[in-house]
Amino acid sequence: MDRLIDWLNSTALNNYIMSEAWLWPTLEIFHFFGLCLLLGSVIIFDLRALGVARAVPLIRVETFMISAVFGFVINLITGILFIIGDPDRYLPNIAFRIKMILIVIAGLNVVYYMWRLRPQVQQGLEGKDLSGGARYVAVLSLILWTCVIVFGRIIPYVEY
Amino acid sequence: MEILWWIEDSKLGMLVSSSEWGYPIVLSLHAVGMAVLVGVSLMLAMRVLGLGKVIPVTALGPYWSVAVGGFVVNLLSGAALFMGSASTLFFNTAFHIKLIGVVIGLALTWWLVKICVRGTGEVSTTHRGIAGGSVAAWAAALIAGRLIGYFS
Repeated sequence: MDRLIDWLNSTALNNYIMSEAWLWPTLEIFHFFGLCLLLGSVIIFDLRALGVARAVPLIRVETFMISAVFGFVINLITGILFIIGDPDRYLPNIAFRIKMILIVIAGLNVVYYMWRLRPQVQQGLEGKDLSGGARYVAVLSLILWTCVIVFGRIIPYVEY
Repeated sequence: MEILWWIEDSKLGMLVSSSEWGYPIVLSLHAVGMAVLVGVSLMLAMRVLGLGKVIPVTALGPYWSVAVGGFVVNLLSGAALFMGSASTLFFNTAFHIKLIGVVIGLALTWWLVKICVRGTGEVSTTHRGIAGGSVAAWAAALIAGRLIGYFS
């Protein structure tokens, strides 16, 4: 871990990120915008799966997930730049580590949806006709992404 | 501006500014509330602007209540955060711009819900204009909000 931090601190990109005063706040702004896009579309999709706005066909609401993917990619890129720019602040930080684990679990939740539930949704099934714990997947997704935001936000206030 | 000091010295003000976990907890609530309010508002605006046209725009009405829920969380958590640093925030330009952005973003999103999402289902040029304006206002609020810490 220490060697990784030392190496990141010695890279040209680290130097650049830390030398440009405008860059860090700009990355933060994009990171916040990305999280709004991600959670916004996750809310639309998961609440629909839980029975809100039944007038929206579940098979159609997937269109909004393009916004979740877009938001996630923005945050992956800006997030990696945060780590390269200030590795001492993130890599050893317990809130950061918990956040990363939660993102992995949320990712596995998406994989499970794609494998087990999406084929049923594409056949036009909804609500109680869906087998494989659709409601648990939706609730878990909402809880996980909310916790990702919370643990990300408290990173600066947690000492290791 | 005696009253700003009085607000900071109040019980809630001190809880936010000086207790170990007060500030991070309220700040986390504010971040989650933002994601809900701005996230859902952006989704409504994006549908009006053309994303997911296969979904009837009127079917998205119930999500407005979710956005309002996010706003209530942020009105309360924002008031608490203000009480924690009233004497500096009151004079912070980024904070002023953020408040204006939030008011305009909320008003435009509410207007959009009223005349388009709860309308006939037809999306007019006016509706798209309001949606575009709401996205711009939320972006301004988010940018200014993030810069508050850099202005002090």
